[in-house]
Amino acid sequence: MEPANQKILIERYFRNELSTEELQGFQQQLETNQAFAQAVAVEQDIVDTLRIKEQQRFRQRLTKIHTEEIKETPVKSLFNRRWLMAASIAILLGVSFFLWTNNQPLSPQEIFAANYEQPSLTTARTGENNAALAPIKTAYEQANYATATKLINDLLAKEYDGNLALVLGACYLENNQIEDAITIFETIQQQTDLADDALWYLGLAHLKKGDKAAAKQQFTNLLAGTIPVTPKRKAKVEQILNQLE
Amino acid sequence: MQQLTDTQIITFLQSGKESLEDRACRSLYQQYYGLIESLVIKNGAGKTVTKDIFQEALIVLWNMVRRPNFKLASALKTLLYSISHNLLRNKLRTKGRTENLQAIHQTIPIDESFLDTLFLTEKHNLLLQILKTMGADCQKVLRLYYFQQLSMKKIQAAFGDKSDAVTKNRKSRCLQRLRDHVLSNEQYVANLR
Repeated sequence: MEPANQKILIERYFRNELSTEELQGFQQQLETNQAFAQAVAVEQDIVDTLRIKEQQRFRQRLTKIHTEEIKETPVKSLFNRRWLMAASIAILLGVSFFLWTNNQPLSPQEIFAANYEQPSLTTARTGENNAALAPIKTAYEQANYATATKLINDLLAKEYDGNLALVLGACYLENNQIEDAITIFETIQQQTDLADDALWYLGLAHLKKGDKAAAKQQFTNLLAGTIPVTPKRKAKVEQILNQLE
Repeated sequence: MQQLTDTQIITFLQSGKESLEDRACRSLYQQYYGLIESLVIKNGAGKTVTKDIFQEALIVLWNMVRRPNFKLASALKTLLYSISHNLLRNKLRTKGRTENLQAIHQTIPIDESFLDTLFLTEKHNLLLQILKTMGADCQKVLRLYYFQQLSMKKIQAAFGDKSDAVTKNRKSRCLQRLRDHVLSNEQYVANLR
């Protein structure tokens, strides 16, 4: 093969222009002609070098694209002195506020809110007055305390029931009729089997009213030992008394 | 901005036009950088490694799609992830880590020879130095002829030559000069034997 033709063949090979037949002839030359094989090797290195050079340029472009597309927060700007000072002050203020708020004594109303649970109407009497209890239950569960209060008072006027009176006291509390609630709980307190509940809600009523001393007195009476108190309630009362100190 | 589809990205990467290639790369960054970052971080490497792996994966992809008869046989996401997975595995192996990588996406087999295109040998460094000694026009005509594989008509237009004979002569002269430079370099010839 003429040297000029050989060069053209090699160039066409690296430009992927050879037909299948030409490619077969090319492979044959490569295996049998050492000078041809060496010329191909040199041309391969030149082609590779041109590719590597382009690859380097491509990578430079990628670096620019990376900078624009990936917004990495620079460490320096994040942690410069001003930012650190501001962050430190914010953290100190946050921690101080946390410690301050956690060391602040709870208000009586906050203690009330943390401990108050409505007495259940199911603990009220059952039997012949069940039918009369149904609308009370509905009103009570739907937080319609004015209606519940009226219905309970009507029923109690016919026949007193301590458990139902306890629910009445709760309805007064919910309606912010705290004095009425206190009166009813003081009445129930006379009933031995309900003295525990009565004193508990009496103490809570005084908390809601904001009268710490009266609340403290009722809770202290509860722990005096003359009334049976469940361990769970005893623990709660002790906690409240600590909070009231 | 609406992301490019797999087909658009491949077409743009094959175009040989820098503006289109860059658009494709930006889209790849926007769609898949987070995935590769997760892969790298899950396997205990850092953000700098993510940047290297992702850029090397784009270079491998760029070299792949330029091959004649390239066909996308999977989702582009899977191909890019598989390239990155292999690159990270190789990188961690050089640091003595031989255990399997924790995968976060399916992989497909990758021809390892594509990954070799990232490595520069002494011979390549030598030839890059020789290429630098050529004038800018010569480097350009060789790039258009061999790398972009443009037709003589397009190369003629790129230079504004009056005829394709002038362009052919330009290309032949430059290519022969480069061959002569290469073959006159003793270090290169010594390695060739």
